Amino acid sequence: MVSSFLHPLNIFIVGLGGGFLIPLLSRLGKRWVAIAFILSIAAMTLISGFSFLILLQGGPPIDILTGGSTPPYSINLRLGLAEAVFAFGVNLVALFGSAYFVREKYGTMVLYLLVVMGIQGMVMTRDLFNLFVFLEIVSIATYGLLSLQETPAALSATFKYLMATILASTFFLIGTVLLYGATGVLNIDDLIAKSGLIVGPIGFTGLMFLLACLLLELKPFPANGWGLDVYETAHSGVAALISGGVSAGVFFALIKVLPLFKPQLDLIAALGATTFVFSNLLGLQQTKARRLLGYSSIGQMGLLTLAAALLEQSSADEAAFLVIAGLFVNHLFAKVGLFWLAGYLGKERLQDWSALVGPPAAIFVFGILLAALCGFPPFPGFWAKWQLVMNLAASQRYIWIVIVLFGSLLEAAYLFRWFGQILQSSGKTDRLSRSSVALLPIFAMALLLATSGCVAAFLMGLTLWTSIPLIAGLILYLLDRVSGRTKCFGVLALTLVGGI
Amino acid sequence: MMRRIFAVLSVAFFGLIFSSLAINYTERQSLRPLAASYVKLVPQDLGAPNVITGILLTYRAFDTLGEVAVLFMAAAAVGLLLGKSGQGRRHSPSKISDRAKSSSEIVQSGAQILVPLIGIFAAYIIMNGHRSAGGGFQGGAVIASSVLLLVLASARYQIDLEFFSVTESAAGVFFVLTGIAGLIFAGGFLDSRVLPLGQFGAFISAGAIPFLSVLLGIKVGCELSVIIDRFRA
Amino acid sequence: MTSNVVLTTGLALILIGMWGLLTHRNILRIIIAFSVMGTGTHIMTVAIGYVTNGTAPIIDRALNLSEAPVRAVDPIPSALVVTAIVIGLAVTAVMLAYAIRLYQSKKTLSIDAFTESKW
Repeated sequence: MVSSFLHPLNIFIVGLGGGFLIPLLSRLGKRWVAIAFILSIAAMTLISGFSFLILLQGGPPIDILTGGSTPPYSINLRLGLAEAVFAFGVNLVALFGSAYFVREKYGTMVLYLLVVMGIQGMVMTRDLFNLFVFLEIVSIATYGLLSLQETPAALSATFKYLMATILASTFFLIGTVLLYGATGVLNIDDLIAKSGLIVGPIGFTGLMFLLACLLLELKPFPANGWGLDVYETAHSGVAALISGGVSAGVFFALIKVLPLFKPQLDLIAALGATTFVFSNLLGLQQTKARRLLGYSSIGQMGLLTLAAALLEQSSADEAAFLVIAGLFVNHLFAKVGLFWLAGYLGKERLQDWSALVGPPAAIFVFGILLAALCGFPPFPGFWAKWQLVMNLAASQRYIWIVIVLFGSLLEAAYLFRWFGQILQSSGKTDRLSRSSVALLPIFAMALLLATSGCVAAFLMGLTLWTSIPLIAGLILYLLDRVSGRTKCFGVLALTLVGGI
Repeated sequence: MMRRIFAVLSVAFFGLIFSSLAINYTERQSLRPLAASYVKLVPQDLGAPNVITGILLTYRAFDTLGEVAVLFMAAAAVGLLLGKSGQGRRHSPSKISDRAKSSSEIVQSGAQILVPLIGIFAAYIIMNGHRSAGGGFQGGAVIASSVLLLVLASARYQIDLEFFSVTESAAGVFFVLTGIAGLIFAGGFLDSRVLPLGQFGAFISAGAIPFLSVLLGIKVGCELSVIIDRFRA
Repeated sequence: MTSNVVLTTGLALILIGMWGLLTHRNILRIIIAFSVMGTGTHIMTVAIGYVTNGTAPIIDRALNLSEAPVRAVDPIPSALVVTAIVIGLAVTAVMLAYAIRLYQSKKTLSIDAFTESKW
């Protein structure tokens, strides 16, 4: 009985049912709407979390059928371990982020609920046209949510975002239709099985249009001006959702169809590498916080694309899962936390973030988010990059290792420079006037990063001793009042223990 | 100048790709295997003469549900952007009707004659979705066109936003409930075989497909009418 | 032969839409260009489903059950087009709403007033 309530299909039933019920409930009062909103997201998170736990313990992928029939006649969805990581991660972020939207009009809540459901759909579906429909669900909900910020700059940025993404969706539709024309199937598994039929101009053009859409949506360099303006001007909760959630859906869609693109994997990797390196180069020049976060987001998606293409080439499925899940979870929690922090502070320039120095908790959580983003242990980004480099070294593709490390170095450079700028100019800006309660979701992200880091390390077979440096730093910070000599002694003791 | 060159080059590039498509396309002589099995299955299993409606409302009903969600969200987004309390509406309704020019006699009399006819036509399209060409979406769009005609004909005409919102949400909820009924009583989510198949080609037949068509028609009609109303200055 | 003509028309409309999108500066014309591109895509989709001398896949007096698999046209692209048309409508409605808001903010419909992208 329990398992049938927690079946993944209910994610869509709850999402759609909740979305349709909310306008009816709004006649009863705002409180009912807020309750329904949070309950729906909590239910979706519970379902995806439960499935994630089952799959983590080695259960088989869950196949979800619709329409009373089996594929290829009807549409099917699948929840495997990779899908569960993405779905559960996005759900957690959405659950914590819903705190920022609870006071909005009911239309906004409907759009938020449906965008989360749409991302789940993009991740789980196994039908190409269904992927298009869910892509449109996510896009239109995003367009609606972007209207929350009403400044002219935000509206212009949104309109450019609109034009780029609508063009991308049209390409996806053209690609789907041409692929159907060449092969006669719409189911992704059948398409991969029949990829031998995708020869000739019609099939090949279809493939290229599909690839063009997915890559365009991931905002590659140099066609990413429209994305950056949106990151800079949108409501911070919405920017967090676009950077984490929507990118998750689009990226997972790319992974799903990647087996169709075997001859083009080098090109995809090169595009990902260019985006990663150049976004981080441009990130070095930024003076505004949100724009810097935008460049970092685009760079991370470039790194993920690069990793996905290279690992698909070497067909290393185990390693691929660890790398991609690790990099993605790292990017999701850290970036979302930073965007929320941006909304909390409301300060545009990098050095104005020194307002964080007031409450010690705030600067601590900021430090954790930055450390995770730079790829330090024990956060999942470190393990994922390590695994990626090991895998590339094993197949002797050294030039890619250089690119990955160079881009990561650039990112660490501007992130640490930002941290330094904040510490230096503290005391010159005003203190925070908002309460610390609004920091709670951001804390949750930091906690999730630490937990997932431990899980990732565990999955890779490494022990928790590798997180000694961070724990040591934490202990020393807390014991700041103790005299200098005691602190030095403490460091030596910890190094001894850790070394052994 | 640069923009022009870029535009010319891009369109030329796509033009080349498309011309290779058009040249290499050969018309099919027989149905693809999946399509052939659909044409055999839908009248047999679902009892619906219209194969396309059968596919849309049972086999690929998940897509249709997604599409319903898309329209719902578009109505919500347009409402957020142009809604009463937002920047969209600057003038109160009574001022609009005073300032607007009244439409000509042709439009007004035409509206009086045509609106009932359009309504009957829309109902005909919706109810016959499973038997001949037609369906929920098509009928809903026709209903919305009658609302558009009324709005154009008389500036004083105010649609009852409350009623339309409640109706469209209720129709959506019923759609999801029918899907759940399919899960419990029939083969799967949104399986239309919850209701009896009846006699092939009869007015009430093909399981839940006519019921779903009616729900779709109501929902789409209400949503499009609400969207049209929001665009009034 | 018929579907070749229809396919070429659809592809030509897509090209016209792309040209309009890239060259026009008035926001409303850009939205119309998107709409033309969408229509071209739908026409192309329907053309791909055509079977020579086929008829609509509806079982009635003109097409009985036994000859349907031979003489009917492909139903799948038609089903896809119904969904695609509705989605295109939703997207056009949202774009037009944004155009209205943009006009209210700067009193101009030229897209040059709104492009401020820089590195």
